[in-house]
Amino acid sequence: MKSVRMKRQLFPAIAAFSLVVGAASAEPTSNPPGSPSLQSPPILQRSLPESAAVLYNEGNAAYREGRYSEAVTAYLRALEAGAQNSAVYYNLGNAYFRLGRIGRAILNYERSLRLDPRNDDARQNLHFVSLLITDRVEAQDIEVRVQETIRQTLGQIGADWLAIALSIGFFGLCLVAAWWLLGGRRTGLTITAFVLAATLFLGSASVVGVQRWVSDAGRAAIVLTSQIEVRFEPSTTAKVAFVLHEGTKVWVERREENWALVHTANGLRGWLPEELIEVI
Amino acid sequence: MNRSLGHIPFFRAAGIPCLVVGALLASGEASAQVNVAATVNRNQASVGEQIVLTITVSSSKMPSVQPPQVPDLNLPGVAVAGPQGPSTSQEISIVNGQTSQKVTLSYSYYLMFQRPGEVEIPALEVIADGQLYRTSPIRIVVTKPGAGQAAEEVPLQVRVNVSRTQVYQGQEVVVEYVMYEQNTASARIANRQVSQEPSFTGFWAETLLDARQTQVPPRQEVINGVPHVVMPILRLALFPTTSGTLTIPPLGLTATVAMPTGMRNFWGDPVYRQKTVVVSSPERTVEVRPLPPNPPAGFGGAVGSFHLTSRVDRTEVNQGDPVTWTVTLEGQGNLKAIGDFIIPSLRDFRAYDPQVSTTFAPSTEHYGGKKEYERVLIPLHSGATEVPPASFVFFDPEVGEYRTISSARHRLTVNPGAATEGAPLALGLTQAQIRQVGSDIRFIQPDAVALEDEARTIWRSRWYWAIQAVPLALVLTALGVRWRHARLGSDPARIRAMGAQGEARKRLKKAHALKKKGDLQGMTNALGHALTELVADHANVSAAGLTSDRIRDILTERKVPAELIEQTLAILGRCDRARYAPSAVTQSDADELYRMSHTAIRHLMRHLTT
Repeated sequence: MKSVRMKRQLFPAIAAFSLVVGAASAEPTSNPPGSPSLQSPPILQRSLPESAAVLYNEGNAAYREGRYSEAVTAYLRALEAGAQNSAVYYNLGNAYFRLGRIGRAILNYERSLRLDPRNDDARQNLHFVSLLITDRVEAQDIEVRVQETIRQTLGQIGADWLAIALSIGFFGLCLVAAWWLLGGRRTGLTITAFVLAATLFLGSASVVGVQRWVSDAGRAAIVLTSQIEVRFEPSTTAKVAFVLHEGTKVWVERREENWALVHTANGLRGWLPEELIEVI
Repeated sequence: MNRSLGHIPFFRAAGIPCLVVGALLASGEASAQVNVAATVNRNQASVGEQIVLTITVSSSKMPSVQPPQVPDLNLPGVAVAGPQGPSTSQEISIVNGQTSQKVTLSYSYYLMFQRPGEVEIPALEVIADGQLYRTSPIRIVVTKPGAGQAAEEVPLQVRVNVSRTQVYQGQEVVVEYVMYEQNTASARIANRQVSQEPSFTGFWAETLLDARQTQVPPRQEVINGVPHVVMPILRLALFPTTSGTLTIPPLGLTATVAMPTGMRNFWGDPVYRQKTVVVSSPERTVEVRPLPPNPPAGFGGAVGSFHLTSRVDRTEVNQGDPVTWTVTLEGQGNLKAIGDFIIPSLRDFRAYDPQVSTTFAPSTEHYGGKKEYERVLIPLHSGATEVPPASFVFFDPEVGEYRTISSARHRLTVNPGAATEGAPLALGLTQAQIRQVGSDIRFIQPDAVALEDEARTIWRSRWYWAIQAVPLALVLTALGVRWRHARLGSDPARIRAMGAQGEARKRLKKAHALKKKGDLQGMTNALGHALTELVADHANVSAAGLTSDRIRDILTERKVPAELIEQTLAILGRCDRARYAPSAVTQSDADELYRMSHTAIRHLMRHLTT
């Protein structure tokens, strides 16, 4: 009888959690028409100031009329207004491509995919433009190839949905643990609930861990100048190790003054002036 | 010609990068005096003549010599053989009873100049006895043939034959390097080796013949009355990739020649001396004209002589059965850069993907082969139909015009197929694979009423992390409850007392419910039960045996005020009376009794728990 009374103490907590998670999935969406199909969990959706959308639409109008420089300016202003949106980066990449600035185009397609890994248009355009750059770098490092494959696969899941799955698994585990602590019987139902919750939690935690391993956020960068001499030391007098061209992706390992130590997908390493690349 | 020898290519060609001589002297002694010098046998030579460059390393001790390395040198127009050696000499002298010795190592290079002018051999770096030494630069004056001292006649020559000196861009030029060797008793030649490979700039080169890889029979030829053995060394088909004046580079050859000295030995035989000679072919130039402007549509860069044929594997076929159509291009020219055929529209057929194969069949005289285009066609309609001709556009350098050639047109008789016999044919609705004919980036995303901030992820939300505290608190609370029960498990009286208040409240609620239902006797029973159980729970005794005196004692022991004790006992007395005379209890009595019991229980709970 006392254990029943103790278990009743769990109900408010369960109710509160259910309400929050329920609200997260039940809140109506406010996506613009025609926007990419990928949506964040509704609780996270936050519309930006109207000015960002206005500037974005101005950029689109300029693009349609072939005024690509003006389109670039409008998209950049939309970004300054806080429009961290995959579509803005994608359209900006298109405008840069039309202006012949391949490095900037690739940079913005990469940023678009970083925000929305399921943006198929950005993926296609990135592939198309990557065929036009001078350097053809094939990943020789097995770790880089594995990470790239996993990144593309996990990109389809969506970090936010993963977080919710992790949270629900965690809650289920805690609920079953509290139930058992308060003397609840180990029935088939509670054991099944425990196994499901544990699987969900461990699965989501593993995917989160793998995502962190493969993430190159803050390290991957794009060469923005037509040609860079990459040197063995961070000095203009150092011997040239190899030459990179516009649009090539590199990974920054560390920085020293105005120089960055980078490596390419095929494992070449060297120093280059930091201002000639831009981190994705 | 005034260029540094540091760029002479022959050193690289000879496979010798940089000269390093390590001289390690006997341990325990001071380093011996080392002298390093570079000398030539003469400072002036004519084109085609050779000089000998010698590097000597002399020391008072015998040095240990490491494999020599010479710097990367690249200077067109000079051929080299060497280094050869080292040759070692030792000199011992005794002066005033003091014995001294000198050991000298010599390395020889044989240089032959192909252009008049001045050549400076730069300071060469030599490492001896752990020290770096530099030789002095040497300037060589190269004169035109015959201008200086007469060159010593060498019984070996390399000539270059060029099939054409005026060609169109992409037109084949056959270049042949031929070795001429005097075939006389006095000429003794051995150790022939190519020391300088020609490096072609502005040409696409394909090898037709290489004497180092295939057996080439020599032929005999008499030149100026002297018999010669003539053997082609290398024959190439060159295709100019740019217009202008292009240079056919020389090929260098080294050999060891036994030169007669004019003397005879004791037995009367002529005395010879061994000499390493370097010979090279002269440079030639080719004038390359650009192709005429405005080529016809479909021109893919083919230059040469070609002809186009085609065939089908059958001329009568059932509808739905395949016909294999083969188009063959054969000819001379650079088949690796000729572009594609012009394939006509095959609207009366379902055409599968073509198989294109190229077979290179160069002869020893020209470069050429054939390109085959094979495609499986399935006629869509019965009746008479035809496979239209394919075309090919090329530039014919012999006539200086672009030409378009076509294959034959093949007539087919298509019998109605069994499956489709009698079925109406929808003309103009033939199927074909949709093919993408261009590529570009995809269009921009459409306009938006509002933009979502996609950088905002759930991981960065404070709410997300706050929610995680809920299940955590749940477990902690359960842990706390379990710990509390474990701690109190040894004192059942206390547990009972702690639960007394809740039980009392529930009984009061029950009494209230009974009162509302009008069951007044049940209500008075519940009230009496609630009061008695409250006292019994706190005293950890059975409620069944509690008398008024015992209740007074218990409450007095727990320092309950006497007034409250009396009030409690009075309520219990009224409840007892009501139990035995239920008809005497009115609604107003029940209300008052409930109110009094409620107040008494509330006060008792306060006093009993303190």
